[in-house]
Amino acid sequence: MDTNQIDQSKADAFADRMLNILNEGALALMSSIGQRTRLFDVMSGLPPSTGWRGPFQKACLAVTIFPEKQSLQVRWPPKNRA
Amino acid sequence: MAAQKQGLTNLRFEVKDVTSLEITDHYQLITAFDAIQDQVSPDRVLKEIARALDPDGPFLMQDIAASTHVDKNIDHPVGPLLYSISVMHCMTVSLAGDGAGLGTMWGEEKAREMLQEAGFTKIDVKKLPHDFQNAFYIIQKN
Repeated sequence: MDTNQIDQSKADAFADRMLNILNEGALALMSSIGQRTRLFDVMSGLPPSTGWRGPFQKACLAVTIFPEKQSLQVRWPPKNRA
Repeated sequence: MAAQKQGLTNLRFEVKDVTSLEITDHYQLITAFDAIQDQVSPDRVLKEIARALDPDGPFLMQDIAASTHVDKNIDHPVGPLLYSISVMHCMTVSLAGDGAGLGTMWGEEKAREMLQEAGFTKIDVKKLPHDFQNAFYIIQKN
């Protein structure tokens, strides 16, 4: 067997798995932010609020994480910005 | 300086603030790689680029391939990752300067709107078959 030959199906499966790890890992971090900022609590009392067209259109949040303080800082953009 | 030492006398590097270039119809090619959406004032940066660009020159803007609207990105292969990076980096660096906070996923619709507002008239978006993450905007002002 040629040891230099790449098994394409294995390579594809590895690529799929890596992509999944990146997406799901990101979701884990975002879930933590959603919980710790109380965003989920607030959203649970709101009507469907997805995306730029919803009530959050002008309230996209950015989060700064301070690992040493184990805290999050939430910033809201100036009100005339998209 | 390093370029001159290698005998490359027609090459020069300068560091400038893109929000205040104050150069008109000058550069034959301007490029921006994954940089516009991170800006504090992307609208001002795009206007300065439009002004500095030669009337025949292209502005090549590489940016994330996505829609401006969340519901159109549901099937994006790295949507969750890109939105997360947006919250944790791209929006944050812009909002830290009281900026626009466009975010990684500002998307093609918003990009086209802002490019037109900046004075660009021709916008052609190209994608590579193996690359689902990037869009290449080839833009001209005339």
